Amino acid sequence: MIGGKALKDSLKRLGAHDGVRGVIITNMEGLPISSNLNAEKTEVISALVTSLVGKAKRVVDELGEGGMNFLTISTPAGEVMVAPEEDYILIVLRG
Amino acid sequence: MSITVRQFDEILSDVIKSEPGIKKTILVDRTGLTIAHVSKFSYYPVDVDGIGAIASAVFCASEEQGKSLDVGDLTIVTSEFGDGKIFAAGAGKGVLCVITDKEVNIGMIRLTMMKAAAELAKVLDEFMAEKPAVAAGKTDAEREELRAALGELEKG
Repeated sequence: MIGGKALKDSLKRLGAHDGVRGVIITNMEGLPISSNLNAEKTEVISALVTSLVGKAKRVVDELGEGGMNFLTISTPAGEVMVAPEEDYILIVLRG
Repeated sequence: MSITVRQFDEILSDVIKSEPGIKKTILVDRTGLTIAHVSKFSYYPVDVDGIGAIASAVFCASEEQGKSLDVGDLTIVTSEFGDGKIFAAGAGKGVLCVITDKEVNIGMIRLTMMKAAAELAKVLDEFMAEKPAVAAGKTDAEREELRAALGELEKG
């Protein structure tokens, strides 16, 4: 289990990169664990992205691609980068 | 415009369709009476009225706890069981109850419920503010008669 300090350090490190607008770590149930965005935005993004990850994983399984490692959503505002792990999902908004 | 139970059903149907794990949605009033309910599948016979009444009681009890502790308004009560979850959210004069499988996206359920609860609160307010059809249909003569009878009673 990842500790509180490690989470904070990861957030700080990722948030310090150029163009990063926000970093969220959420569990697989869509409940945010850590974030550097406001609470309301964090809750909405966590829920929606987790739902999307679930659907994307089902697509990858159906296609027999052997699992999903990373998901990128390209938008006019920049990028939403999603890294799903076994118990957590890391979401980075950049652009 | 007259509000029908169908409007409640529509909102509850939207909730049930929003996430795969949702089995039932029930709208009850604060006294525990069922206003409307929608189910995805009939897995097994369920006493919807009983479930709704308990959900309302649990929500109102938690709300009282919150008032005693002065921790603000209650948004959602979540009960987690071995094989499923029950969520209850305040919807104005009612309580929205959602019954789900064990594996659900809690974040999405919360978002969906908060959105639906706001819509339901609005419709419920209009629904409860509507005059009963009998009173609304009274003619002027009938109203006069009632007024006269009331006047008689007051005199007596």
